[in-house]
Order: sequence, then C-alpha cells, then structure tokens
Amino acid sequence: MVQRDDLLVLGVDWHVHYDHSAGEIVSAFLKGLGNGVIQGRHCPLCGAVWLPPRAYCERCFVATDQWVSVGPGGVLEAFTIVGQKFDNLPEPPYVIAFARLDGSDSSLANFLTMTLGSVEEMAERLAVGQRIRAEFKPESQRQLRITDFHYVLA
Amino acid sequence: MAPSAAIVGTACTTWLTCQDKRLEEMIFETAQAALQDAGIGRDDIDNVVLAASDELDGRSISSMLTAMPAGALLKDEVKVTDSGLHGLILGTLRILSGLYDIGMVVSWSKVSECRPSQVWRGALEPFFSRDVGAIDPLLSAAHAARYVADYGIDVSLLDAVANRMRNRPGTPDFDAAPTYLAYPLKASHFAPTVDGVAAVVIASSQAFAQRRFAHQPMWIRGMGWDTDAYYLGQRGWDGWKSLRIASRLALERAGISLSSVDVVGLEDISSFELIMGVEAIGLADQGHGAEWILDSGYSINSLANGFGGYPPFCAGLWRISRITQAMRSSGAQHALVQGRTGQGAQGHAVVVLSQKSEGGM
Amino acid sequence: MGAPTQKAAIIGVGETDYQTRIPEQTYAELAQEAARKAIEDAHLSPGDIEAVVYSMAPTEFMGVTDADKWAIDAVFGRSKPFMRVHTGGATGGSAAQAGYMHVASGLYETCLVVGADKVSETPDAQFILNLIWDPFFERDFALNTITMAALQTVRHMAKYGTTEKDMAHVVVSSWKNAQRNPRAHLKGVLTIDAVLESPYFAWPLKRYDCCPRSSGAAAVVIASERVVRQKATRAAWISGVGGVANTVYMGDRMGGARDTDLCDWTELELAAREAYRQAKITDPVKELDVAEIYAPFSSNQLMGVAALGLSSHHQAGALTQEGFFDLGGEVPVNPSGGTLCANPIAVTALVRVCDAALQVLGKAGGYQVPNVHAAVATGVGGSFQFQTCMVLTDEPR
Ligand SMILES: [Zn+2]
Repeated sequence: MVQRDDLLVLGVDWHVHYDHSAGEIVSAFLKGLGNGVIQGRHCPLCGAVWLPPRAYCERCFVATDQWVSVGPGGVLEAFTIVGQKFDNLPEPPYVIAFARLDGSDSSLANFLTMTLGSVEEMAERLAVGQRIRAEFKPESQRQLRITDFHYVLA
Repeated sequence: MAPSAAIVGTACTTWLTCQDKRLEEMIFETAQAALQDAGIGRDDIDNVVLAASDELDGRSISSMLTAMPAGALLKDEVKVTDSGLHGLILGTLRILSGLYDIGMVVSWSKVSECRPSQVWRGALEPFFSRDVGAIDPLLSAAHAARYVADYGIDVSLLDAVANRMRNRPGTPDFDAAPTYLAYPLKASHFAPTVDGVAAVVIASSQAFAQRRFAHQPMWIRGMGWDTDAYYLGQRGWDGWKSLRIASRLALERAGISLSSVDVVGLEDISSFELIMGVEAIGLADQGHGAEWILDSGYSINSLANGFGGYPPFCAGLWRISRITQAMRSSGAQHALVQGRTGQGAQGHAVVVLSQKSEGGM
Repeated sequence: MGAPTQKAAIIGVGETDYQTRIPEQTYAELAQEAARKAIEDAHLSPGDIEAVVYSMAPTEFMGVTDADKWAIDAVFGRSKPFMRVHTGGATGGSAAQAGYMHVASGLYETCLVVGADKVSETPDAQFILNLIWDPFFERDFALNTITMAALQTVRHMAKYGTTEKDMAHVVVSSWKNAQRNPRAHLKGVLTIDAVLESPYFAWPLKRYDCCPRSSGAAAVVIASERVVRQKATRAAWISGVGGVANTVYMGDRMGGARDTDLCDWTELELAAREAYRQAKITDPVKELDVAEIYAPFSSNQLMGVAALGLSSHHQAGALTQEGFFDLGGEVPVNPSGGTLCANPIAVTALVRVCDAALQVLGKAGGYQVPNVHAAVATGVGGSFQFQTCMVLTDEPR
C-alpha cells in the first residue's frame, strides 16, 4: 500500500469499566477453589454435571439442583500449544487445554503445565484422551479465580 | 394464506437492580417464565430472536453467552442490536414469512454492571462528534432547548410531567436532583435506570390450529419502524419524524385509527421524550404534548411506567410484556407500544397489539 | 411449514476490494460503496429500496458502537425501516436471512442488506476476541479465535485422522482460486511446503492456516418475485435458509453428555438440513454446483464440506487432496478464495452470500463455475456455535 501524506489518522483510546455480577453459582464455585474443590452443577432431568457450573441446564431448561465434586483426575479432550505472542496475552509457548474431570459431563478450560520445548516437541507429548490431573496452587496464593488450579499430565 | 402472529406468553422483571445474579441467570429465569406463561416447553419453539447491546453487556459478542439461557440450544437464533421492539418485529417477520411457527423474543440490559454514559460515548463517530461528547442525554437536551424555544414552552411543564409520572400510585420512590443536567433538562426529568429482562413467546396462526396455549392470543396486528439521520442537526426540529412514520405505518397495517387505541405505551426515559412521543404519534399537536399529558384525563403509560424504573434498550419489549399481561384481564381492545433506538432517539419501532386478529397484517 | 409467504431473490450484489487498511474512506463511506454498487447492479435507484438490514459484528475493531447508525445516511437507509443484525462471525449470513424475512413476510418488495468492517482500525483484535468469552471461566486462558480453532482442529485430527497436509491443500487451493478474484485480500502461489513450514500460531494451526484481518464492505439487494419479474433479467432465488445456535461452552461439545461434537460442525449440518428441505435438495453432491463455506481456518473447510453433505468427515481430507473441491472439480468450494483470503468480519458471511449469488447470476468473472443452478453459502460465528446456511438457485423452488 502506498503511504499518502494527505490522509490523516486520528488516534483514539476508549476505556469502559464493567462490574460483572458473578451470581450465587459462580461465587460458590470460585470460593470452592479456595478450599481446593472443583464442583459442577447437576441437572435433575438429564443428570448431566455441567462445568463451567451454571444455574440452569441449557438442554432441559430447568434450574440445576446440586453441587457435585469432580476430579482431580480427568481426560484431555482438546489442547493447543500457542506459539505466537498476542498483545495483552501471555508469552508463548503455553498450553491451553480442555479436560473432562472425572464425574463431570463437560470439559473445562485451563492452562496445562508441562516441560517446555519447541511447539512440535510439546505436541508430540500430548494426545486427545490422555489422563490429566488438576493441581492447585498453594493455599496462600489462591485468588478465588479459575487460575487457582491448572492441569498437569497424570 | 399468509399467517398472522400473536403473543402467547410473556414475562419480565420489574423495577429491579440485580446484583445477586449473572445476566445469563436473569435471562434464563425470564425466558423460562415466559414459556410457562404460554403453557409450552423449550422443545416447542423453533426459533429465538435476541435484542441486546454488546457494549452494555460487556461481552464482545454477547449472544455467545446469552443465547442458551434464552432457550436457543440447537434452535435458529438471531440477534439484533436495536431496541427490544425491533427484536419483536424481526421475530414477527419470521412468523409472517411462513417459515417459522413459534418463537421466543428476549431483550435485556443489566446497567448495574456498567456505566451507560461510557458506552454511549463510544456511539459517537470520532471525527466530528466524540470530542464534543454530545451523548444521551445531552443530545436530547439540545433538542429540548430548540423545542422549548420554537413552541414557547414553559420549561416548568417538563417538571410537571415528570412529577405526574413519578407520583403515580405504586411507583417506587427515587432520588432525583432538580439540578440541570443540561439546559433545559434536569436530573429530575429522567426516569431512574434499572436492570431489566423481557421475554415474549410468539406463535403463528397455524400454530393455534395445531395446539393449545395457556392464554388467549394477543395479536400483533400492525408494526412500523424507522430510523432517522445520525446527526441530530440533520433530523429536522419539528419533532420525531421517524416515530411519526413508524406509528402511522403500524396503525395503517393494523387497519385501525389512533382513536380506537385504548392503551398507549410510550418511551418515558424522560419527561421530554414522553412529550415528544405523545406529539409524534398524534395524541397532541406539536408543542402541546405536555398539556395533553397533564390535562387530557388519559393516564399515559399507566400499565408500564418507566418512572418506576426504566430498563434501557429493552424498554419497548418490557412495555409490551407488561401491557400484554394487563390486557388479558381488561376490556382494552387495542394497544400501541413504542420503543426507541440510537442516540437522541434516532430510530423508533411501533407495534400495535389487538385482542382480535381481523384486519391486521 | 412450506413455502414462504412471498418468494424472494437476490438481484444485486456490491462489494469493495478487501485489504488490511482502507485509509481513503471513512467507515460510512466504505459501507456506501458496497450499497451503491449493489443498488446499481440491481438496476434500481436508492429510492426503490424500502427497508435496510445492517450487517455489523462486534464494533470494537472499528471503534464506534453505533457504526450502523452512523452509516445509515450513507447506505440510503435514512427514514426507512432499519435494523442491525449481529451474530458474531455469522452476522452476514444472519443479516441476509433477516433481509429475506423482510420480503418473504410479504411486508416489503425490496430490502438492502449491507455492512462494512475496518478490522484493522485497532491493533488489539485478538485481545478483543478474548473478551467474547465467559468472564469468570474462560477469559483467563488467552482464548481467542485462533486458539479456539486450534482446539477444534486437534479433535478433528484425533477423531478423523486429518493431517496438517490435508489442511495445507485447502490453503494452497484457496490462494490459487483467489488469484482469479480481483477483490481478494490474500492471493498468490503457495506451495504445500511453504504452508507446512510457516510458523505455528497455535499448534496445529500455522500462519497460512489462518485468515487475514480485512477491511471492506458488501451488500445485496433482495427483491420480491413481483420486482424480479418487472426489473431483473436474472435472479439468485433464495430457496432455502437455516440457522442453528449451540452452547458457547466448547467443553460441552467434547465428550461426556454432549449432543454434538465441536469438530463435527453439527450446527451447520442441522442448518443445511433445513435449508435443503426448503430448497428440495436431497443429494447435495449432485444438486449443488458450488459452495461458499465460511472457513476462517483451513481445517474448517474440511468440517464444512462434511457438514454440508459433500463428503464424509473421514474422506474430507483425501477428497480435498484429489481436487474434488477445486475449480473444475466435482463441487468447487470457495472459488472466490473464501475466508482464508479475505475476512472483513462484519460482512464475511455476507461475502459468502454475495459470491454464491454471483455464481448463480453468472457474474463471478474469472472464478465463475460453469452452469450454476444451485449454490450454497454458509456463515459461522461465536465459538463455532452459530451456523447459517442459504441455498440460492437460478429458478424459484
Ligand atoms: Zn438437563
């Protein structure tokens, strides 16, 4: 593209703050992480245990009724190794994984921590269906965020 | 024969600021209540229409998270970023096309999670408008100042209309400063904004032939919608032209005159906007809207009063929901409901509801 | 549910060139170029347009939340029925269907569907695309559209044996097709090795497996049967439409109590089933002459051809390598170069509709497929959770 000096560009920044209500279900889940517990929500009609936990079953369209503890073991359902630096996102390489924790019917996203290498080397050590384990940060470092735990290969 | 469309179930929140629920949970509860009101289940609907704003929701494609609590799992779902009433109109177009039978329309805003004024600022294009910062309600004030001058209006009428709406029996109290936000509009001229969700289940005339619903249908007999120029200065100062066009078209399609409308539900985020609405749909002559509200003896917005709490963006659908519920047990035959969209009410949508289907679209 | 209340067809198509930045035009002017071209192509004047549907996805890229309302005057929408449709990446497909509903309902004789995007007005696109996720559970993991596609592709490889080479063939073919499309953003001669040797963005997706960020605008004019008979010599009849939404949570779509699998594009399969039913298509390979599939990542095209019934999931890679979906093949897929060669997000799915319509109208120029009687266009959005499908034919059905 030819640079033209008759065309102006106006730089604009725009900041908007939000306070997202977590609600009772998400709050209880995040507080559970502080105690090293991962819990899904159970649907009274189809019996599924959903993670992320939600107040209702999207399929049966009824309120979920109880907490079910899941994990810490589980199955790797999908993963990727990020090789590119994106603005405002972590330094590569790192692994984003979806794992279905034992006792749950859906997979939950988290980072998977493993020995680093080239993207190809790391890809060779990972496979869909592999066993993983959820590992918590030391209690003092937990912030009641989803990142209070991560996955490791079992 | 072309199908017609009717509201068969509805639910909405009332004058609520909700910090104990996720937005998604509020949507689920309201959508579920609307299905229950219709006496049907999620399996019975074949499509979902959402009307919401990403920027108010703080989610860049907010329907990603909100479509499922609205009942859309493996259904045909679409979202408009215009008023809740525009959502109802697209849902109705779908039914009228003959390709859909039963639809869910949901609209919301959870303004307790954001600062709407920050969001409105982003609505302004960056070259001519954003630095000046004429967002709602400042844009509205510029229009009001011109209106007051053109028609020789006593500005105390803006106070009087707001007070009349606020002092309705059963309307919650709220603090409202009598200080100028921007001349001639004072904070006390504005309705308090609240969180809101409204859900409406609509069905085709064919669906009635095949199944029963819990309530008598409320027919969507006419609708019109229209959006004016982006820059206020290009819209003309003689009232809300696009609302005039939209309401005339909605009544024409419904085959009824304004005089046979028993229930009117107009935008009431401020007394000024309510006055503009009354004039644009033709209840009062230009420059006489305030007098009409105060003296006509007609209790405007009596079934859905935003001065008890106004949910931005979804207010039109919220009004439809409240009015539909109230009309079921009243002798009222026809209702005209308005929703607005854009800064300074750039666009409007009007829906005419009727107890009977004859003569409509 | 049978035929629409009123039949409708696309009689005008307008597109701008797609490129990274378009500093010569403001956003509104860009949208106008496509609107003007579509109206001229339909041999109509702006006054003949009765209603407008505006196609606009997230506004954070171009930075004005009322983008549509800013552009209203420019696209001849002022003082007309006007609404903005937004379903993420699927926006253009949803908007085209909403425009169709305006006419199919019998309320309007003409409707302009138009939109524009300037994705590169911000350098923070993938950061913005992180904000689409659940703020409590998913934003922390650097999820964006590229990592989301990588997760899905890993499942497709595990389930169907798809290889990076299969995916590379999709890229090479798309870039080659795009050379015939004067509006395409990326085009040129790529080799399989060049694709395979490009750096990993998110394993197994490499640089060339990913679509560009484009600016540009697109529009179609939809008209009733009455207007078509009076004004048009050719028309691309909208013979079938479908749309399906699924849960945002990708984890619900992998194992466990799943109804669908993320890598199967079941949402498109269901949407196509409805569109085919309306268009009376029973054997898509035989009856469809061309497909414009919204495939922003190379692997998506393999999922798309299977979901549309043009292949089995297992065979999609092999058929791609054999040239089954090339120009001159059995069912050409993305002869325009597709989304891999231009992705102006707000209108990408509308561009698919434009390109499918051009094929039916016989106006696709250098990438025209001979004798097109039926074409299909798709759109995908969100976490691959929204799919739309439209069948266009040369005669009403
Ligand atoms: Zn369930």
